[in-house]
Amino acid sequence: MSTRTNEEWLAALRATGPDRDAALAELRDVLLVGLRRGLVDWVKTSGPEFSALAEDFVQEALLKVLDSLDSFEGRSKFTTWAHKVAVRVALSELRRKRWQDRSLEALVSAENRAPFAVPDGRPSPERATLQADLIAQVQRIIHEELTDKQRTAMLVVPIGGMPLEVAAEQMGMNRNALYKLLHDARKRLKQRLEEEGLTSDDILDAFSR
Amino acid sequence: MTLLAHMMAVTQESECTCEEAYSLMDQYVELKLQGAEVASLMPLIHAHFEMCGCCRDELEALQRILTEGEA
Repeated sequence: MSTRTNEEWLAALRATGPDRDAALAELRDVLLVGLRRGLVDWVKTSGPEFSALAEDFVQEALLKVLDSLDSFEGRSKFTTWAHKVAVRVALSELRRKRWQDRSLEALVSAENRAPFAVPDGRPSPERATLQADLIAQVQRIIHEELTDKQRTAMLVVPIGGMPLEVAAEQMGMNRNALYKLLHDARKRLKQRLEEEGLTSDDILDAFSR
Repeated sequence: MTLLAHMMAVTQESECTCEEAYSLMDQYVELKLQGAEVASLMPLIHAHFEMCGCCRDELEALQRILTEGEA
């Protein structure tokens, strides 16, 4: 556990010489221990492979931390903020590796029909007709309201499960811009559905078992 | 279809971006671990974590780091 205050961390990391070296070494250890705990759902965190991987992540995180010390506003512990930086570095890389063999195009074609598949079960004829009508209506709205890029993003991220960050990279955008694109798409769909007298609850009711 | 419906149900007119959520993630997670009602205190950030899988993954990893040991 670190006993440094936020101010002491900042002062030491902005200093030169042994104070800075000691602070960097301490922060490196803190981040390494943190990643071993934080990445258990992502990689096997025991063994030498993880140590090498985590060391790479931490070295990159330390550079980012040093580059962005001025952006730390003291609203959390300094170490929490530094852990956040290390987590972003690590998960960005792990996501990229996990999805490196999946192309946007393949996912679009695979997911094109998935949201509109007839649900399992044996609905009554009336219910089956209602479901088919709703599917056709939503498909038409998606086609009419969304741009090609918005449709692709909807199929790939929320429906196909590709991480936003990976999809953004493949679409030549940054993560923020893709989130905004998807938000606009969701708003347009929601508004158009409401204009046609359809609410989320109507759809959920029709497709609930 | 139900996935689409759920997405529509939680869509708000104004939502914060990944960058905004990231900038407050450390504060959000500390408040959450202190037992604060983060959904009320930081509603836009909270809603973003509900909607964005990438940011939610990062939040969960950060939370695990802080929960299982001293930062």
